[in-house]
Amino acid sequence: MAATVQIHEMTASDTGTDKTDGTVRFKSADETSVDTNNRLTIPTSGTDYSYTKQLQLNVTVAPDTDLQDLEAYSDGGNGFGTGVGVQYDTDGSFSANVDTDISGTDLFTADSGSPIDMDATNTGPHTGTGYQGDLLRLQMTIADTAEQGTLTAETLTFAYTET
Amino acid sequence: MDLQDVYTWEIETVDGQVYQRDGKKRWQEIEPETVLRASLVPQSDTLQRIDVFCSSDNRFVGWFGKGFLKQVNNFQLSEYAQCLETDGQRVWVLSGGQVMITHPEFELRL
Repeated sequence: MAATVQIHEMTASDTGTDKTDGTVRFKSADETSVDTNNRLTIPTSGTDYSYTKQLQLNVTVAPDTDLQDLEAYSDGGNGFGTGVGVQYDTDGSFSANVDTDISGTDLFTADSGSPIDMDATNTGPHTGTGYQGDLLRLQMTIADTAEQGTLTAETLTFAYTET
Repeated sequence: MDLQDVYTWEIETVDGQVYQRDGKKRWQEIEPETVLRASLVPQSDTLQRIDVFCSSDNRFVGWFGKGFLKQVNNFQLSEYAQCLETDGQRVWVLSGGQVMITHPEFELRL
């Protein structure tokens, strides 16, 4: 039977919220709801940082054999506009979400030609069900040059190979 | 139908045995040298099957699926490609029936 794979967003504890058929919204609070509460604000000077979002694959139906080559990538172009960015890093285990600078890498440098290795720490092959691979930690950055308004969603892709 | 179930693999060996996914053997348990034909068989009449005939200079290597979960408006499994690999090529089929034949080291990213 083919595997069923979900995207989970990890919050205050290492227990995720299923975001399959849902979205991930950057906020000024450590919570997973998609609404207009806890919006990010444009600073008068410098840069503000959202609470981090940590995403991980969750397998609910096991593959026949295993999953390998877990990857994530953006479309390579920042469509959020001037002063708005997203930075990332990866880790093999959950750590508390923060709203301070994680000094990560620009997400939009990770495209389909140079994807993020999502099982560099928790290496595959991945068998069975449950959380698999590493956590992708994302943080939105808002500079004082940003313009106010609601942003259009960007594309983020998770890919896996199943055997 | 879920995208990962649109096609299923089928392997025929030189002794006339036909093996299918969810059957009595995983493809890894079949001797590659004995594979005469590897196929991707659609579960819908509107798609066509893909047959790869193997030989001593185009030997069966394996099957794999490639899932792509994308967030645009919602995180969804937006594509699930399946691939039959021989030592000379990779034959890919997308869930809509599109077929690609590539170098065996080609990696598909959508």
